[in-house]
Amino acid sequence: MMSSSPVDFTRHLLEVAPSLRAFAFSLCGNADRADDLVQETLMRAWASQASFQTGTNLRAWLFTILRNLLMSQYRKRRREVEDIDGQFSSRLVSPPEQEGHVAIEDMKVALALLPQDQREAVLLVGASGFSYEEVAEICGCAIGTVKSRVNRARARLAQLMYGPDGGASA
Amino acid sequence: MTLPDDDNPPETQNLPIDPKIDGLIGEKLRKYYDTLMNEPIPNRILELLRQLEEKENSRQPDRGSE
Repeated sequence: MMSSSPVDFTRHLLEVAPSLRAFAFSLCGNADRADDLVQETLMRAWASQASFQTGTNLRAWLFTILRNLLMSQYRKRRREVEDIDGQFSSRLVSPPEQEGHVAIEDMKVALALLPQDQREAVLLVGASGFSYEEVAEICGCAIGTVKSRVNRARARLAQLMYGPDGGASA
Repeated sequence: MTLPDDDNPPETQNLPIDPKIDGLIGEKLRKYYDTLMNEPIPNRILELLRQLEEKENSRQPDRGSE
């Protein structure tokens, strides 16, 4: 049922790999674990490529696979994940006004302080460039839910990075 | 660390976000993500894709053009 050649499929996987890695790292905060996730995602995608319909959204499909893998790991390894998050929160130390790579580190830490559902929503919409509709499909929830998660995430990020009244003072 | 789904105090939900701050957040988020995207793909992933491609080619010989 494939209408693109296998070589094309592998090439498309390679094209999506950088953004898959960025998403995986943003979600779990650990480079090795992110690459494990990406590797597993690519293998699963390749193994079930016959079920992928050419012309539909390969990127969204891959993100869905990765996200589901991570969610099942979360359920299995809840305690370990909480430890990782604990390390994150203890490292929220750099002053928010600093720029450059410190700002990048700030964003990483601030993202880690968001609840999982808000973190993935704001990353998928605000950074990966998916539409609300696509994110609703990737996360298996309603579009309205995605919107409210994104709004809450952005308000929380504003507070974390610009102080307690981060959103309020106009 | 707060528990997922327990972290939505009402004041956060209703807080109007300063559009300027919101713009900055969006910008920082994209910059952060772009930095990650620009990292080189590690060899183990490139090697995996190479292996998958070879595997596929040997399974379906002479599938040169579409």
